[in-house]
Amino acid sequence: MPAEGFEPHPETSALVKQLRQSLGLLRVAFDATGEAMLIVDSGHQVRWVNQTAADLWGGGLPLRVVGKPLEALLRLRHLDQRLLTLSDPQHPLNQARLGEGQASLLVQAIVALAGDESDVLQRMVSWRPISELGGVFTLLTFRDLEPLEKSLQQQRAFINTLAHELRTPLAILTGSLRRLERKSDLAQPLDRALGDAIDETKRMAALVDKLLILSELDTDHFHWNLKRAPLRDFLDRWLHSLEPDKRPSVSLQINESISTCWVDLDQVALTRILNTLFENSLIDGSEGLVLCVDECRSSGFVDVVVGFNSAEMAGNQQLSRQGSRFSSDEPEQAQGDWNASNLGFSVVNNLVAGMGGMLLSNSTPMETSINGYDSVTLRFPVVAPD
Amino acid sequence: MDWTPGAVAALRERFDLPFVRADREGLVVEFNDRFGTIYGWDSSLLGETLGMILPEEFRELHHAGFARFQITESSQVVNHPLELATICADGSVIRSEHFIVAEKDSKEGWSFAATLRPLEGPHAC
Repeated sequence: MPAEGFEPHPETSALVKQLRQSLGLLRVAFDATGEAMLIVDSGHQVRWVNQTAADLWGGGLPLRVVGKPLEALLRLRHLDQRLLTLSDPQHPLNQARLGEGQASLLVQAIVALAGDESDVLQRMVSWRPISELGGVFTLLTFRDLEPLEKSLQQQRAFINTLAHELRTPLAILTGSLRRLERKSDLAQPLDRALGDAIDETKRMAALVDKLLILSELDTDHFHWNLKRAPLRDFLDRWLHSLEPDKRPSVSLQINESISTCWVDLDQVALTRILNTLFENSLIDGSEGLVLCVDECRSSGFVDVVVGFNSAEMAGNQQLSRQGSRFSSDEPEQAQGDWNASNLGFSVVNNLVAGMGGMLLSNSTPMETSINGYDSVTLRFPVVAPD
Repeated sequence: MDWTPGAVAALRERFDLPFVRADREGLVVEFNDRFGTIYGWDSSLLGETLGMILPEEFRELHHAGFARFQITESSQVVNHPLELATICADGSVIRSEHFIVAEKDSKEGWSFAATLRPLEGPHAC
């Protein structure tokens, strides 16, 4: 059944020709890139791919990738080989709900015909939500690591190994010094020297511990265990984990209207964050912490304002002062330069970011402050209850 | 470009299989009776884009692939059997094996043709 003469309007025909050429050029450009690109819809089905993605997951044919569920094409793993399932909050498609980001991950293609799995490739996986197309889509980009990134990763792996190696001798040293302290009856100057040695060893062990965490976070070897629960539960569990003599130094104040807000947090990470802030506050002369949980101006987030409780200021006064400050000015996101000055704050910053949150700082000239900040804000995304 | 002169004519002669041909713009210019019988299309398909017989999720890929072909004259979908869903005139879907060929004519330029082997339904073969 051949067609009889079909001639579209010349203007329409010219426009279609022009659009087709633009589309063709775009397609050529996307196919020429070495990065594998996928657009996935809200049902986790692949809606668009470039040629590199088709080469990796469709035997070279985009037709074999489009319309397939993402999990039928590839598996993602953390760098320590742990499987990253679609139900994991750390999965790029879940992270994309909070905004764009990237992580170094292991990618394993599932060869459909053989029902088998292929080699594991390490890729920098970027995600970006797209909401302009009348639906919820996510652009996933898989990029091979560049030489500089590979070198940085080797450097981080070296620090990671070093920190692990230092832990054991430091633990032995600490144990020996403590035994010496218990068993020996040293004269006054020597006794003080032993006390100093114990304190310094403890400090060094704490530094190595922080270095190890930073290294694990940097190399994506930190074992996240995100759980969905009311924020209050996480904070209560931290409070109960404190030694009884330290609990009175912490004041927790929660705005009742958001006392039931839910968040995705890792209890171990949150405990480490608050412990670090608490320890730093004590070192810097503060008498403890005031935790004020409040609604954030940016909808969808909750703020935990951590104030460093000074001797000159009663808890309520400090909170009201913080409240007034927050009503007029938003705190600033913590910058990289302050990380370098204090390993503890760097750990806090990275742990908060790892849970999809933000660390914000307030600095005002105060007699009692931590690194020049009299309070910091831990801002976390609010999620729907389970 | 991997194509063979006379490929379209060779496909057309396979009367046992549904056959459809599109011009360089991707518009349907010809199909055989077997195609009409199995997939239910009539002459209203002539002049329409080939995307009409493809599932919605493949249409963007089809148009972009066609546009890319105009520039590069290369394609990875020709000369391979490809299992695809084919949309019938009544909107139903028949899983079919498509075998696509391309041919360049000095007068009319590129032409694309495919045989479709239905893999399910009463005409499955």
